[in-house]
Amino acid sequence: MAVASSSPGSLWLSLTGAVRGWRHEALRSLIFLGTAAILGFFVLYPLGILFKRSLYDYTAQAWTLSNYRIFFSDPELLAAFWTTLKLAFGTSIFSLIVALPMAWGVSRTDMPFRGFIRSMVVLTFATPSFLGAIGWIILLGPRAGRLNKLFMWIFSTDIPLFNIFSFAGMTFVMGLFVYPFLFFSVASALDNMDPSYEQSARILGSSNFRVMRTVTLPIVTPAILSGLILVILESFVVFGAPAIVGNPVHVQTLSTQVYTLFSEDPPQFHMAATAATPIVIVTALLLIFQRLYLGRKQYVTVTGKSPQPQLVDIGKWKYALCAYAFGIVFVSILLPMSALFESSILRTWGLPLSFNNLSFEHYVHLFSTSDVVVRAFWNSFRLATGAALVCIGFTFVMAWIVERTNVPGKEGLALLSMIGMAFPGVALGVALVLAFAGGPFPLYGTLWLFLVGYFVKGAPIAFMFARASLKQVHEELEQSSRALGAHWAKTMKDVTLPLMKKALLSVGTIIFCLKFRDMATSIMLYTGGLEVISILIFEYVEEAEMGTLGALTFLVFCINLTLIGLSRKLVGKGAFEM
Amino acid sequence: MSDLVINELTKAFGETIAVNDLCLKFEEGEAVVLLGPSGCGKTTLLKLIAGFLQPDNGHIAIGDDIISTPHEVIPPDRRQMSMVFQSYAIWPHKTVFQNVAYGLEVRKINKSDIKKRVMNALSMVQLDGLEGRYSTELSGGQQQRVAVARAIVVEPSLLLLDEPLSNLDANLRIEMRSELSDLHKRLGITFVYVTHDQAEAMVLGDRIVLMNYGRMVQEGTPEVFYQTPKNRFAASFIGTSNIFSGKLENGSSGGTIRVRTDFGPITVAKQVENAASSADEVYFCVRPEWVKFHTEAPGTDINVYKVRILKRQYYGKYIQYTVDLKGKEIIVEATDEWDIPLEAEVNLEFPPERCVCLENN
Repeated sequence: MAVASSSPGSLWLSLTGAVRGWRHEALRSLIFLGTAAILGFFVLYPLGILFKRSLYDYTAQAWTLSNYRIFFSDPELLAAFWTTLKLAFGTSIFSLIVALPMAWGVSRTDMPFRGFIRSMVVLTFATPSFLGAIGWIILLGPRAGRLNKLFMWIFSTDIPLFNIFSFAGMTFVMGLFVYPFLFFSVASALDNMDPSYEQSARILGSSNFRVMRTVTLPIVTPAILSGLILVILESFVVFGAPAIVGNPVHVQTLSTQVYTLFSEDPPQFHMAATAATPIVIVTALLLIFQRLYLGRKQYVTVTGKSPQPQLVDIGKWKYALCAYAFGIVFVSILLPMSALFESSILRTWGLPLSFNNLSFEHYVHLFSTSDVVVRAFWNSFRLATGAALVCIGFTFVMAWIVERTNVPGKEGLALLSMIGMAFPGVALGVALVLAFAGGPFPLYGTLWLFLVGYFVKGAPIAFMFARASLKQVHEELEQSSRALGAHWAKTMKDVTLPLMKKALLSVGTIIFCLKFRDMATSIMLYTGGLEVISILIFEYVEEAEMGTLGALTFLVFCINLTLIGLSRKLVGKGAFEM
Repeated sequence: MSDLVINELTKAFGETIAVNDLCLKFEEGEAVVLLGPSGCGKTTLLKLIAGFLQPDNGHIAIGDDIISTPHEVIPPDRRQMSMVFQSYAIWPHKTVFQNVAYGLEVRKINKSDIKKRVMNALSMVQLDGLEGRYSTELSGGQQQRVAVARAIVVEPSLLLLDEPLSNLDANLRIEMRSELSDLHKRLGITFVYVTHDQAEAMVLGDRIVLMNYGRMVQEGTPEVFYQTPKNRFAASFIGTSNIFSGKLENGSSGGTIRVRTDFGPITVAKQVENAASSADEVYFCVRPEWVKFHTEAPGTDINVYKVRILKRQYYGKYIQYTVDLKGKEIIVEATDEWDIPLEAEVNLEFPPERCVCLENN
């Protein structure tokens, strides 16, 4: 029976009890508008300012396209644009080669260590790529890199094996950290594929290989495209790794170029806005394409496993495939993280790993030399906590309005809460600074603006989780509480929130984790004294104190690891595969 | 609590009119069953009564107090009603005791009274000793009992039940419906019970309200429903019916009318409230067990027709035959003294007082 969730009036009923007459309508509208206004203000206002800044000449007081003319004639900006496209292309090819065999092996074959490989890919996915970049600098720095030195020693040469400070190095590091997007997309499609598709092709006489080519591959093609879009997207928006690897040799992507324009003296605000705008537009278009045409798989957590499909016996090949997967996992996460760890415990960096050269002094040094490290940890901790709490509280109310009422315009509210997703970190940073430096809301130069940025970026994830979790709570569980005499707020407190506790805690952990290490937005908002951890890391990279840098980055990696473990414990596997 | 009155109530969801201009009255202490196929508006009506939905037109009142209008709805938590939900809605994070105690806690009853009343309610639904369990540790039938206990422990004046037995297996359903019927008699409160199961409606309802397309089709006691269905929908929804159509013939006399059908003329009782209109087409129904079997020539020739047995199904208490009545297949039932082989021919008598004339809609 088509009983709608609730009547248009039930929101005010729920929230006000028995207030009578027109005040119901007014209060309902007030809450609805209030929610929309807060969200709209912090999402749409900076976005509008960003666009305006790129299209409006403040000295001439006129709309103009001159910024874009400069953008397309400035060789440096054009180079950044091409580098970004090349990076997107390179990481896509890299991901296809790496992720497809791995995903197939893990999901559909009898390859050994499938669970371990999956966990390692999750770990790679949840580790910020700038940690990987630093690890690879330690390993493949042109002169002092561990592997390069080994190579030069073995072959008695002074030509390094590979210089990580290059476009190729950037593509390599990025590829190792973005392939999980494709991996999860394809693996989850394969996991959920009805095994009878393959079985019916087998029974009709197809070989394993033929089944894969004619049945499996076509079925997962949308998932491949969808994963590739996320890979491309990440190449456009990522900041940390390209900046760390590319800056020393002036190889810039659009994102790092925006930062350069922003931190020049004097800052090129209008050009930063102009360079950020294409990133926003590309992101939005790709996301819209991905969601409309390729389904919503990417944004659905893989919670339960569907009935285990019949695994394909690939004979001896399974060892080859397993070795391949181990190799990838080793190179993408184990090796660079070990490099961080090694440099954090070596008393003198550059000397070999020996008992005499071991020490934890870098960890002590990290916290004892200046209070900036403690301050950065404290700032990151409270900002990440605040962002998690604000996101949960805010999106819970929004999800309730969207799922449980028929308030007109609620779909708009849902859309509004997702816009943050199309707002890459760097572009968001620029937009926030432009919108909140001076003017009626001078938040720039305070930690509050960091909180706003983290909120805008965290809200879409929190909203998706809250909405999905609220859908799981049968409406009648709430109604039975109402029918027994509990008002709305009591019902939320006694029934709805306890039932959503796990989901909310887990999304809180995820947001905490993402914001604890956020670099792209934070680097734009940073002014002296407002250090957060990622900014500290960024500065330490430039100052090149390898031991301290190793200690700091390995510590961050460990915190990250703990949080991932925690959220996977809370919500089961798949929490991070959003 | 006084009578519950529903007046010109209308509720639409987009294009679909779920409840259409409905007027009803529920008397205090009565057990009323809202019966109808899925999508007929019965659950919507229940949620309107509970206050979860706001009507588009009309109003709901308890005695003189209006509780729902298109402009104003007293919220469910202030209606002193209780409800048993189709999904049971047992809170999985609370024990059986905590579930049942919740309504009492909301009413700020003191702890020792809560304990006494919860235990009493649990024993009333035969769940003694299970108060520490969680819903995941209960069977479907036990969950259903928890839902009932939770609803009655607050001593509501009106209990709403939304298809409470539809998720149970057949045997348990039969057991629970008689328990619910006993419970109603013990508590003496008004029950409004939604179901699509006509057997449940017959057992539980003091009165049945049959709905279709958001409108009331017929209301009355189970006996009235079975003996004199109002129209073709009512006749086929409750019990099994053979429905015939024909043309009205002149020469009706007394309490009967003559109808010319494909298989010959037939005399049909003309119920006062079901009076056939002057329209040409006349419908009437005959329940399968209302026909009489004759192997010999019967003593009367009114409404006697020769039929051929097409199909025989043995049910123990009775045998159901599908027979061919001059090209039309009808279903009849007889006790096993009439064990007739397939393809045999037999005389069937349709007593005129058992041919119920239907409204032509």
